[in-house]
Amino acid sequence: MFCGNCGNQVPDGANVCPNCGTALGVQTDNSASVNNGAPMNNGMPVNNGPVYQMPGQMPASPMPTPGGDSNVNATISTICGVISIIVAVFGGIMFGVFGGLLAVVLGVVALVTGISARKETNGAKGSAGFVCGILGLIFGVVFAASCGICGVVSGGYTCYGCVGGSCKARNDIRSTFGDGFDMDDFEDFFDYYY
Amino acid sequence: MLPYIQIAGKFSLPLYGIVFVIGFIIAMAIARQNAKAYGLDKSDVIFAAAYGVIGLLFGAKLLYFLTKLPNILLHFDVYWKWLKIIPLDALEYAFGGLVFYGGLLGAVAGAWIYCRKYKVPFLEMADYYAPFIPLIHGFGRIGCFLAGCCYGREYHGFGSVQFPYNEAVPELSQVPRVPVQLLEAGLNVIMFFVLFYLVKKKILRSGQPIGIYFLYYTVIRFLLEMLRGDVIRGKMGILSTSQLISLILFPVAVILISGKYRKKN
Repeated sequence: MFCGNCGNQVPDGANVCPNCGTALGVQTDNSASVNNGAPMNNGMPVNNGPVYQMPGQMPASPMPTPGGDSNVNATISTICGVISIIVAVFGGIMFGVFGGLLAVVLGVVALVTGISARKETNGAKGSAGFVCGILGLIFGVVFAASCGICGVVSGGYTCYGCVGGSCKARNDIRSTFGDGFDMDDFEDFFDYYY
Repeated sequence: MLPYIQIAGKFSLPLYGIVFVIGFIIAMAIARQNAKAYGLDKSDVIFAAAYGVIGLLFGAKLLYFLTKLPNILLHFDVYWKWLKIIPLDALEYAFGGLVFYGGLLGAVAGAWIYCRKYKVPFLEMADYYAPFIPLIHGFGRIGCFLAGCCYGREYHGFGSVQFPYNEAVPELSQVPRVPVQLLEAGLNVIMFFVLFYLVKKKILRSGQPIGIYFLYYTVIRFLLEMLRGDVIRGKMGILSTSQLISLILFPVAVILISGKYRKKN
């Protein structure tokens, strides 16, 4: 293929032109006009969806990077997405906010890598991981981390779990001081044993 | 009002998150449907929202922590003892809440990162999403009403609401209160319809939809804060944290609407 900036031939799959250093994700010359304005990849038109055009610029046509990174991203995305859902549902029930937080973190990783894989392959890969990531993130927020995220919704299994009497201590402290307590008064509670 | 519902008598499903997610799904469905007519790629609209959600969670949490940080630093030795003895409680004090403005700015940052990474015009995306932010937020405020957070001040007149006892927020049910969550939800939904119409008709110039949203929300948030009865969002002198942020964002909104930032050809 050819560099859109300097016109020199560059190896297929290259991200940067070895001659002028231009990133090959953005074409700035008239090469797109050879095929009636459609973006090209090795002489074949590539349907990249709507092309965003700023005033005075040629359309940008992102080039998919074959193999390698997209496979890794898609795999990571799927694994993290699935684990995120499992951790959200079961971990949230058993371990409260920690399960929810882990599900949220894994869901975020699945989302980001899934989007990256989809972008690199024009939607061919990464969909499963992306969807699982969304579900894991939603489940993590709704089922397991709601109490941790909002701080006011707790009850039943969506609590912190009875770790060292935390629930009872929390209720006692809250019922005495509300939320605007003076920290200096808090020392009295350190004598409590639960 | 109804923080959670029991499923099969065993599992408590918190409604705050459910309502928020329902609102988010509805907004995304409408956004995806109309993306092409506005010149945006459907997948870009969804992916930018995904990055926005990540930013929202991070930003809302971070700002909440920042509102707690002064008190933590002031009594750091006590807080450190608390962290060692009852760590979950201490962490919940520091991180167990959300601030909308933190979420909004985090969402904007997340979407900006996506647009920069994948070379999507950010202002067009922000303008397109301008109607959907108040729609999602409106649903979130309904969730607040159900959960009993972000409640109003004591009020005995017409339209006052007496919340049932909520063990997580014991002071909520002590007096009847202004239903400030429903007020804000209603105002946000109105804003959604107005902005959606304006964006669909393509009446506004670039930057104006998001500018109008910021202008509208900073004003109503500043005023509604005076009706709020919870102080956990933090106070800076006589102003609450959200009122202070409203004052900072108001001129940003004016600049966006005026278009003064646009380069002249």
